[in-house]
Amino acid sequence: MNYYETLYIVHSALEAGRLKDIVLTVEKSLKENGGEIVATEIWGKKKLGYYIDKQKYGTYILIQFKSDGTKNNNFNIHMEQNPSILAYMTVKIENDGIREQTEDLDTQIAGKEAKTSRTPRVEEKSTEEVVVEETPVKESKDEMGAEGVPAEAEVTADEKVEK
Amino acid sequence: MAFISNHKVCVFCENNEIIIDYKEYKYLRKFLTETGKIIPGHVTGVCAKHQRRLTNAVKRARNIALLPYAIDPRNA
Repeated sequence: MNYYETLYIVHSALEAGRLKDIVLTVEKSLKENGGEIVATEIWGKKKLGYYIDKQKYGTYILIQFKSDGTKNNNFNIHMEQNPSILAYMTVKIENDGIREQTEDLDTQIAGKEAKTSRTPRVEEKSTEEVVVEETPVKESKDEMGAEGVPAEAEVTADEKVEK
Repeated sequence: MAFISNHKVCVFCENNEIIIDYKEYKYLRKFLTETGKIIPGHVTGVCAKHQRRLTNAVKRARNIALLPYAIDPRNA
């Protein structure tokens, strides 16, 4: 029995539910072909080194398994026929390259989703900052004190948020 | 970019903790030119044994699109 690992790229447009389905189908076909899964790791959405099927981004998933290697060809055929898998690569690994799975699939997918959903929050903050910058310009016409103005403006911004 | 210096010592022979693996693609970028080519060992100072492993790792990373085959410096 040898250890192998397969790194495959899933279409980035898939939602969390579909992503989990695909991971489970891959694991199922692996078990059918005599593989014993050691660890599954979701790397998340990454920019590809080059376009694959006109896609610029993809979700990388690493799966490590134990197998005698005789039915790996059937597993590769299954990966080839899956339309939502952009690319895959199966490699033989040594014993020291095995990773321990610390988190479940659900927590890993949820964690990657939380990271991707942070980007719109940053945009919201940037719009608030623009409002803060606009207010001192109006008040600077009346008063020359530049240092006190931003503090007042921040207070107004906070009040707006509370409202 | 490359580790270009007069005193050339293999980085991987000096430090045994560095693992040459295609999954460490961010580290492998150090051994590529800005157009994506592998820098030869006599330039970087990497010994022949580790250069062989390095090229294999880069080629695996290219196969699974972790690294590009070629980079156009005008677009980068």
